Amino acid sequence: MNKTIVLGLLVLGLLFSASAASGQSLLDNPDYKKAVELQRQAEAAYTEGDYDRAREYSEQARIYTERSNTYVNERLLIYRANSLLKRAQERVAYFKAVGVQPDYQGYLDQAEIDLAQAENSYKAGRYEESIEFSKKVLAGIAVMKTLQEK
Amino acid sequence: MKKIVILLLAGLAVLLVSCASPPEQPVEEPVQPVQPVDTRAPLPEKELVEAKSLKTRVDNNELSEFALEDYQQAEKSLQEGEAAYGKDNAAAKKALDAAITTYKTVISKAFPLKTSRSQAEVDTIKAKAESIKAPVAMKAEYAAAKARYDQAVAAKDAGNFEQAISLFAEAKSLFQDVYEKTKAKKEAAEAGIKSAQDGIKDAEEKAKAADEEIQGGGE
Repeated sequence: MNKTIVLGLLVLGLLFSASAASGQSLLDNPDYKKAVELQRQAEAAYTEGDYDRAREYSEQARIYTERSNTYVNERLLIYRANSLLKRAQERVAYFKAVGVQPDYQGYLDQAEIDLAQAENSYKAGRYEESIEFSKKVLAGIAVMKTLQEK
Repeated sequence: MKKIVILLLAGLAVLLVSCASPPEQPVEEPVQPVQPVDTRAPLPEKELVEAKSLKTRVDNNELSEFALEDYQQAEKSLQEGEAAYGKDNAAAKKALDAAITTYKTVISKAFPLKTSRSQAEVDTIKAKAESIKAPVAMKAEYAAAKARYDQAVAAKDAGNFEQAISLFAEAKSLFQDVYEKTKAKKEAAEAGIKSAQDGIKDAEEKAKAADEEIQGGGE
């Protein structure tokens, strides 16, 4: 496994953990703040009677809100991809560590291939694709049995 | 003696004839005396032209409602003058002079009243435009309308009522346009603000759900 990928995943994981632990909202992003500020300016312009400017500000607010939504969606997607990838890595590492019954070795080999794909996709920023590979890993592993299991 | 008797008989006969009832005669209509036509007075052409000109001015400016009684009197005098014109020129002149005087009274009474009403109409739409902040929303257009209004007021103050009425009409049209355009802008701004507000609220809800998923460790 590429050490860089692992390191990157760890850093991202830590960042997410830190964010979750601190209770920091995804709304705490520049685009959302800008949207709120523009909306405030739009309302002020409206109160003054400067309706053209009010409309311009509210239109800009709408654009920044969309950007904020994009940001939130992306962070959520990254979080989901990261969570699934971590679980997939843990499961593969576990079965590799404890060994699988011979009948399931093919499953484990395939899981490792899918995991690599998930990691590569994640690294490339193709989070939806990474999620699909991670799910595939977890689905394959779900049927495997360790050497200790009967 | 014989002559005396004859004379007495003749006198008696005359007396009898004179005392007898007269035969019934058919009643004849009394003949109306013909009015004498004053052929010496000249045609009051100048008076007729002036009276008609004043009437046109009054009608074109729709002044009658502001001095109705005077207007009706002037109309009556004008009709009398026209009826007598060429027949009794002295009477025609008298009636036309009266029409001229009364039309002038209509004009002097009605123009200030009509000007005031025109101004009041402009004041109404001007106030409506200002109530939705047209001086800010439509700065240049409002200024143009206000300039026309100020010109109208100046004309009124100078006693130029026809000009004032015309300028007030222009100002009214300009203010009406300013009001409608401002209203449209205001509504567009309201729609934009509401849309943006809804968008922000939606974004907040989405972010809150995402926060809960992330902080809750869910998928």
